[in-house]
Amino acid sequence: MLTPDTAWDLARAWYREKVHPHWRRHTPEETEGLFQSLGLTDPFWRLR
Amino acid sequence: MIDESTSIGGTLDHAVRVHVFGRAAATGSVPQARQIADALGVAAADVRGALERLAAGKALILAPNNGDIWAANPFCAVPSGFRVEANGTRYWGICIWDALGIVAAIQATDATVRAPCGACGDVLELEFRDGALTRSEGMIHFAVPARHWWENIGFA
Repeated sequence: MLTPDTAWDLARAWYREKVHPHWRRHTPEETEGLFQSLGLTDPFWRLR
Repeated sequence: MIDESTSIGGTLDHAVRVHVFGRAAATGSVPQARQIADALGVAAADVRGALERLAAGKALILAPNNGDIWAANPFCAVPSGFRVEANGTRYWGICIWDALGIVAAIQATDATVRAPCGACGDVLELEFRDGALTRSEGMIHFAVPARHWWENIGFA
């Protein structure tokens, strides 16, 4: 469960570059780092 | 014809991606293969090939039944319950995360997001003013662990 504020922070980090021509998909390491930076450290948010 | 402004890197896949997301952000409507082909001056079959490669790279999601774009996520190609109104345009997301992602992707300063509550079905509203989330209600529930999202992204 996320608060709307945390979900907004996650959405911003995830999608703010998506329309940009130079967008590239986050690597698993970048994604895990993003989750951790938002306090999403539960195993639920692990990718591997 | 693909011009330099949309073919950075010189690939059709890149040009298709830039066109799809650019149109979705500007209009709220996700173009499909025929429209993309017409806009870029290339064959629709080539565009479908590019879309398949973009989907394989998880840049967008194709509908399983007909190969149309289901979502150039965060932009959903078909109406859904997750609605965004911003810049005088209506958008749809496939989930609340993507609806919030639309606000981020289009860099809207003012926006309204409406989403159905997964528990009771009531429509919840979130408001953005001056680039900040100023009013919200409810909690965001993720049902599928992150490592399993792309096993069935539609369900996730």
